[in-house]
Amino acid sequence: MKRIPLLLAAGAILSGLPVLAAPEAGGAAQAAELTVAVTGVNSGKGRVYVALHRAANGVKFPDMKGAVAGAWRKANKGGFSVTFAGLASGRYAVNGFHDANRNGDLDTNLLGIPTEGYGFGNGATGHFGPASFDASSVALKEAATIRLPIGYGGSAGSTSRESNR
Amino acid sequence: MTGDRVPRRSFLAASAASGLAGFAPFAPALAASGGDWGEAFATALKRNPMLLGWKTPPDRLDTGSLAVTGAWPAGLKGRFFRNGPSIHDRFGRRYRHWFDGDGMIQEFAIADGRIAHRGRVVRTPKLAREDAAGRRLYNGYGTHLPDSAPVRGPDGLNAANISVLHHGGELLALWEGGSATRLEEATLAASGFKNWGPQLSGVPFSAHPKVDPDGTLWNIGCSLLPRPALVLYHIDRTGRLIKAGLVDAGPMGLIHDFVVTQKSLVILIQPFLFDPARAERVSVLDAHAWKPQAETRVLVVDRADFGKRRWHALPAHFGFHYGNAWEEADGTIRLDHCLAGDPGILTETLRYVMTGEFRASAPLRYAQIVLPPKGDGRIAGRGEEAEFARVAPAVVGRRHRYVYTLGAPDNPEGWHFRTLVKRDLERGVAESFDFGPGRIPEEHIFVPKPGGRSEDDGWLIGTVLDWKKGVSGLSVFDARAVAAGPVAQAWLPYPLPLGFHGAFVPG
Repeated sequence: MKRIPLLLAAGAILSGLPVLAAPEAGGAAQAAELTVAVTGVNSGKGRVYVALHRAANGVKFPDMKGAVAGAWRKANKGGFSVTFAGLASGRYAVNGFHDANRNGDLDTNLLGIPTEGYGFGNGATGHFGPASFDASSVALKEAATIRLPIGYGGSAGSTSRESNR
Repeated sequence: MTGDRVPRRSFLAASAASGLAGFAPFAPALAASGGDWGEAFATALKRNPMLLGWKTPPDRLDTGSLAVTGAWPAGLKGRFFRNGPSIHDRFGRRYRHWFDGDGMIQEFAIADGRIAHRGRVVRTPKLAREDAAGRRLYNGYGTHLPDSAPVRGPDGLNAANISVLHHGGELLALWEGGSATRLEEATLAASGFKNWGPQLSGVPFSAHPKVDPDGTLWNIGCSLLPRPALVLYHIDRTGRLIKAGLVDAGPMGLIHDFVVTQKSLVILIQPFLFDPARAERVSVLDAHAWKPQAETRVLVVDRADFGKRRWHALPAHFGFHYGNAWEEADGTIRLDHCLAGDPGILTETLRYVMTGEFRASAPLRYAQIVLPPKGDGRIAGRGEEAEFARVAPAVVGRRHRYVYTLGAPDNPEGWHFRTLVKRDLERGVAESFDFGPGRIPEEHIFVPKPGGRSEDDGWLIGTVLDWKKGVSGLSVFDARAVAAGPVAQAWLPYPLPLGFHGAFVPG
């Protein structure tokens, strides 16, 4: 299958520096930064991919092909934060997954159900499917933080619901 | 770093396409019918003790030695396991379908002239999360909670409540919407979902696997969400996957059972069809619709090559269980089926029994289905009321003479089984034993006698609820003399919930 390189994310994996997002066409201020607080990672195996999405960019959320920025981080049991800098202000949805076997992809079973951990911004959940863009998103002006809990197969996607109560 | 790329697969795109994105809370029609069904059931149980079989038992049951009447056969040693929906009520809420309750394993350990019983609820991840939350969190098969939590896949709802399988040295509690659940033999404690191989984690594994006389196991898996599809499994005698396949079988509903011949897997797709678009708002059961104008589609898959398939049509019918099948030299396939004209037993009788109300429905009757090598099949010889068909393990997929079922001839007590029936397909006759008033027999399974020679040289073992006395028991019959009644029975000091299926593990 075709792989789409995301050069801006590639260099940032070990540096710990903020990820610089690609400038948007016609974007005005590119000074905002969004911190994604990843939680719930169940082991230090492999890596975690975190992606930012904008609405109406032609690809249906949460397809990773439509991400405007993305970053790989070494998996860290529990979690970590990653900051995306140089963003235009606006609404961003977040998703990510734990690539425990380092094959560069979210593994699924025969029926397309993920067998590796994944999650959506704000701990948003879907039922037998992905969460919505709106529920997974945050409005960004200058700086914002959004939670990204990672959950695993066989576990219900109810972590956020319970922790919200 | 070659791996530092955007993931190649569309993130959850398959699920998104199914139209199931998001979760909409919805108050179902049944919730509007008012109140918890537990109160209605408790009131009905006082009037009608026959309902004892739908009462929730304690999570654990133990009896060191059952009281035995008659002479227990010396050669019948081992463990008899059963499973069925059991935890119907919890946290002050009662499920609204018999099929929803969390599974409970009933084990009868038969050794040294003694029979001991253990009952253990299967602590699935679903039940563990509900217990931690102190309330029901998830929809059942026939119950839609207005405030149910979303799940990542079918195992989030897995109640492990249909059957038991002992294969390749492993004990498994079977459901049909998701994975099998591993059980520790020493404690019967649940120890995670069974993963049969690459890409099979979380893929449904049905509750009626067929063990071929060669020791290998065939099964189907029936997926409804995120998309309807059939999975086929072939597993060797040690429990290792030989192969698996995926079949897009078109519109379908939940498929409970199937049959094998020596050449083929035979899967009937009855016109009780699941509509994924409705599944956000109603229970899985209520997202099915009966289409009597449509036909039953029959898929025949070559065991040697899952890509080789043929289709037949049958008149629309409904049923849960097949007995056995065989394939003749010209390719004609014959199979046993317990079938009714419509799914009323599922949508009415087995739903409203949870309130303590009996609603009549078309009874399941024995029939033989004939599939010619080409063209439409036919339903031949509709017979008497029959359900829970079983055959001797040695004839699975081969021509068989005997089928063992439950029956309910003119039962004045209303809806439930009362007889154990042995049907002789060669002579076209049946013999039966009537358990008598106040007794509800459950599935009886055939256990071959050590060194047995003929097809029926063995025992039939199964449970029975005596609702008048308020206790459950275990019966053993000589399969060559069913009408003579049980050669021995062993009684518990308490009732067990009526369940579904079991397995005997010699030892």
